Order: sequence, then structure tokens, then C-alpha cells
Amino acid sequence: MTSPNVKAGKIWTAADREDGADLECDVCIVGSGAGGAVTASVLAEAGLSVVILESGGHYKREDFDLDERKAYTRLYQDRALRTTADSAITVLQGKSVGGGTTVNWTTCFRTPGRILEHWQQAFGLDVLTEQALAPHFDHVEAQLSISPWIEALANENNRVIADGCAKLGWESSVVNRNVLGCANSGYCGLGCPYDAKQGMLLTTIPKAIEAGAQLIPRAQVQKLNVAKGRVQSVLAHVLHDQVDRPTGATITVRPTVTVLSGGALNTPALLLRSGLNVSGRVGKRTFLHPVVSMIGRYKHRIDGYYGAPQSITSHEFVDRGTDVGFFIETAPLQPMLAATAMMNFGPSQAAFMRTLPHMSGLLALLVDGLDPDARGGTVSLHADGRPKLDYDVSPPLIEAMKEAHYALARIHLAAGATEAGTLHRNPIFIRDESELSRLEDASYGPFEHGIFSAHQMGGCAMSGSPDRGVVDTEHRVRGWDDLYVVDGSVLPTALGVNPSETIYALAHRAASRLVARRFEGSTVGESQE
Amino acid sequence: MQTSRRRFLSLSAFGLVAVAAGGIGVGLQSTKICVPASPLKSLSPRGFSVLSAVADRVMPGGDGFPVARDLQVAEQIDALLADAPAGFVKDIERALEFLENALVGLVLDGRPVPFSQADGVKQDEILETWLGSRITIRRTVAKSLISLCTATYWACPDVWRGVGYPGPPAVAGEWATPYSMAEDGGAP
Repeated sequence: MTSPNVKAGKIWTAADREDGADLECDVCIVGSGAGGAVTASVLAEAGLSVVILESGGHYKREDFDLDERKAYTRLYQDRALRTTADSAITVLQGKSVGGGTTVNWTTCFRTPGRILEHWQQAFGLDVLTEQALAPHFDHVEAQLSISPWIEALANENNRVIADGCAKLGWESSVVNRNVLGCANSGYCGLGCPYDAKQGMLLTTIPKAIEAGAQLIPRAQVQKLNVAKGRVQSVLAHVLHDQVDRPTGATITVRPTVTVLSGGALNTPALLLRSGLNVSGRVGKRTFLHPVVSMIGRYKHRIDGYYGAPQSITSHEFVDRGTDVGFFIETAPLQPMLAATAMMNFGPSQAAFMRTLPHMSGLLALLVDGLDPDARGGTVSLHADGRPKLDYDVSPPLIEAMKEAHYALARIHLAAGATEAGTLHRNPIFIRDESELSRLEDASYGPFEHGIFSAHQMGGCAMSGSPDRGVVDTEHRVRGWDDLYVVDGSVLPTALGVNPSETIYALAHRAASRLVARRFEGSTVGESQE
Repeated sequence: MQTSRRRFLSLSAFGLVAVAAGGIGVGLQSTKICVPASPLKSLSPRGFSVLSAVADRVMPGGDGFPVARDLQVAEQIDALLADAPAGFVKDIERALEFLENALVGLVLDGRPVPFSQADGVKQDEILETWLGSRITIRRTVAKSLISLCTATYWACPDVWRGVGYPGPPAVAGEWATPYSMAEDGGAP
């Protein structure tokens, strides 16, 4: 089928993609998450013909049955089996129409000013100032109903941060969330059955479709075919509806411009599969917020599986000078997610789980990438083309993990925990401040205790200088006028806050500028620098 | 020692020798076969048997919790892998083969029997040793398999009562488990 400049917008069904397709359009967007969907809505509403290829399935509120078994296998990359290459760090990354925004915990922050300043100094990103980004943040905050959550609705798990920090004299604050009519159920990570989460599924994707965009789920992009200095076509394999294997059908899209929005890890992998690593920097400097956790046991019920997963945060330790900083949040404690954070097994693991209703789980998210020597992770390819992430857990990160354990233990104890426990293979329990020294002799780092991450950044870093990074300040892959990256992979470092809102705003900026250039008279793929 | 699992298992001379020699070892001391409750969809009978043995150590049951075998944890993982990219099945099969390999056990642990033939206490010791090993590939294998079994086990509604987890809150429609938090004394 050849459909030049298709205009009637829709989300394709299995029947629509059964026989494959050959499409022409102005813009092909790979991925429908925070970067891709915002970009799609802006471009489609400007009158451009847009085709979105999404490897995940299209799920709606009636599909979100709050069953961990189904949700994690349907809605996460690699059926929630994604880890670093050595399996030391579990990597949770969304995969469905709406990408990570369908399953994230709705916590939103603007990019911190100190991070933007660092980017200006270290990466020449002079254009990314708080002032320049403000209109884009304003836009997405209005569009996604991002506003402060109601402190009174914070669950007991989050109250631990507020109460503990208050007693310690440490900073804590209420987070912003992108919700409307939230039922405060606590199951955001399994898809919202209330249609309260204002992710891409309910906001920018419908706008893009209404404006004529074609969204093709279960279309896994294999490679970009390039010739004569341009992307000639985008090749995708159609996947079975519920099985992550190709049906044999293919979809070829022949766009004027290609936008890669598959997220950190997937976008670098696609560039590598396509042989587009001219700079040698694709996949390098991939940063997680590596997360360490401590549980606290309380006399009263915490019921950490219910209530908004994150409503209180502490940034008391986010800026530790030359040391790696960390910020503190909570996690929803549904049984499967809680259990997989642990490193122990057998009766020891069961003993943890038996106290789940009285357990609070605090997270410390480490801000990697600000140290000039930080290397972070490197994305390469498995033999079958899947992304492979090798992550350097450096001594500064390990030092931060240790300090984070002290901080988390102190918050738990200050909040009234009968004991605070680490997630080491042989957990360490602290019952009062006098026992904190027991943390001193413990080992920290990969395989010593649970480490996980739901925030992936970098790998196609933006830079103002041609000799650093992969994309320029317009999100163009250097050396390719018709190829853009608009997702978390452009972030030059970790953020020190949950990354979704930064990606929304950068996508809105990138797409708006692309449209502006088009209506200034040039084609959408024409160089402006 | 930073050696990736694929490189170790697929490329290194030691990996090749170990797997080849392990084949001989297993020929002498074969895997203790566990018969699945349903036809296998992705794993080999041998791989399934080793996985089943790991699952039963991850959760051996008792104190109100069922043993992993009773929840068909290994069968569930087999089904999960059947729907995952084919590369995952190969990775897991390799990991299971490596853990099971009697020669590897003999050289590295002084254990001349396949994992599946060891008793429960010995299997626990092996998994603990591998998790704390200085050799990355052994940690990787142990962590991967334990995590798979852990996730599958604790996602089963059958264990919720033992945990004290009341289940998801009731939502409109018939797809969710009806539950009243107030009845359980949970969150209001």
C-alpha cells in the first residue's frame, strides 16, 4: 500500500497493519512517548503529515486491570526483563502507546536551574536557559494538568519523608503530578484504569490523531535506510499483537524528516543498527538515576501499595558539591515490585514480604553525570540488535550509595520506624541512631544490594559544540539535516529530578522551532545553521 | 572482573570449553528432570528443570507461603519467555546451562554434581556463593535467575494472603478484584 501524505488520522489496528504498508509523509516519528507524542501533536497541528511508529501495543483504561503479571510484561520494555548487561541494575522503561508516560508515577519537575547552568558551561547549551524554556514548560504544564498534589492525600509511605525530614530539619516538599481526577489508588505503574493520568495516551496523542497523524502500534523499527546524505526510509517489522516477535510483515515509511523518540537506550541502538555513528559518541554517556532503597518497618500500617506513589520528595542531598548528589522519593509497594528490589531469597525474602503492609520503602536516586569524569553507561548492541547497556558504577557513585543509606535510615528512624533495613544480600537492620555505624562496614555497589532505575537519559547528548555530543541545539543529528532526536537520550547528564517534564518541554521547543522554520519558507529538513 | 555474560558464554575460550566439557559432565551426571505441569513453550526440558530447582530455592515454602512449584513459577516463566524476543530465551538457557554445569561446579565450587542434583541446602549455598562471587558472570547468572523467579512468585495472587496484601482496589467494571480496604483495616 502506498499512501502519499495520508491525512485521515487514526491509531492502526492489528488488521490495518496485517499486510504491512509503504507510506510517504512529511515526518516519521519513531516512538510515541514523552518526546514523540508531544512532537507529533505540534507537527500534525501545524499541518504536516505525520506517521508514528510504536513498538508497543495500544492499551486503554479497560486493559489496565492492575495485575502486576500482565502489566509489567505488556507495558515495559523487554517484558520488564531489561537490565544492565551484567544484570546488576534493573531498568524499568515503558513500552506501549504513550511510552513511559503510560506507566510513570506522574511526578513532574521543571529542569533545575543548576542543571541548565551546568549544561551551559559544560556543553555549550547557552540556548537552554530557564527563561527560554519557561514558555514550553508553561505550555506542557497546562496541557497535561501538571500541578501540586494535595499534601493531605499523601499516603503513609510518603508521610515518612515529610515526618522524618521535618524532625531532622531537612527539606521536603510536595511534588507536582500530571493527573486530573486522580483516584489516589497507587497503581500508576500498571496503567491508569481511571483515565486520570494525563500522559500522552490521553493528551497529545489524541490531538495528533485529530490533526491527521497515523499511529502504528506494534511496529518495531529495525533501521533507517540512508543514502545520498539523507534518510530515505524507515523500516519497521510488524510484531504479533501480544508476542514480541515479528509477523513477517514490514512497514516502510518514506519521510522528509525523521524524528527518533524511542527513548534513551532504544534511540542510540537504532542509530547503531543503522550505521549512523559518525561521531563515535552514539550510546556513550548514557545516564541513569541509579536507585538504592531502604525499607522501614512501622507499628502502624503503611499500606504502601495504596495512594499516589510519589507525593513528597526531599532534595536535601541533591547538591553535595563535588560528590554525587541524590534525591529522595518513595516507591509503590505492590508485592512484585517490592520483592524484585531485594537481593536476598528464600526465607529471608519471605520474612521481608510478610511485613509488607507495615513497610515503607524509601528511594535515593543518584544524580550521575555531573562529575567531569563520569562516564555513565554505554549502549551497544546484542547480536540480535537489542540494546545492551554496560554501566560504570564508579567509586563516586558507590560513595553516594553509602551516604544515601545513612540518610534513608535516619529518615525512617526519625519518622518512627521500629527498624530500618537495607536491601543487601544479608540485610542490615538499624533500630536506632546509635546503630547507624553498622552501615559503615557494609559493602556498597553492584550485587551488594538491590539497584534499579526507571530514569534513562543520554546516549545522544545535545551539545552546542560539534566536537561534543550527538545532536545540535535544534535536536538534529550532526551531519544529517533531516534526522532529529527528541527524547531523553539528548540529555547530557542526569537531571536530579524525574525527567518526564523536561522531555515534554524540550520536545515542545524542538517541534515548535521545526514548524517555525517550515513556515519561514524552508523545507522541514533544511539546515538552518 | 568485568566480563559480560554474552561475551563470556558465547565468545570466550573458557566459556566454550566449559560448556563443551559440561556436556560431557552432564552425560555422566544428568540433570534431574522436572516434569512441567503443562507443555513447554520456550525452554528445553533440561533448562526448565534447572529453573524449577532455582524457583524452589527462591521460595521453598513454609510459614504460610506455598512452594514455588505449587504456583507453577517455572511454567509461568517459560510462558513469559515464549512471548519475549527470541534472544532472551537463548540468554536464559545459557544461564541455566552454566549454573547446571557440573564441570563448572567442580572447578569453581568443588561441586562435582549438576545444580539440579544437589540437595536444597547445597543449592542455597551455591546461589549465595554465586551472588557474592568475584566473577561477574556468576553473579549475573544468579541474579538474573533469582530475579525472574522472585518477580513471578510474588506477582501470584495466591501469596497475597500470606503477605497481608489485600489486592488492588476495586475499580469500575469486572476486570479488577473487588476489595474493600476498610474491611481489612487498611488505608481509608
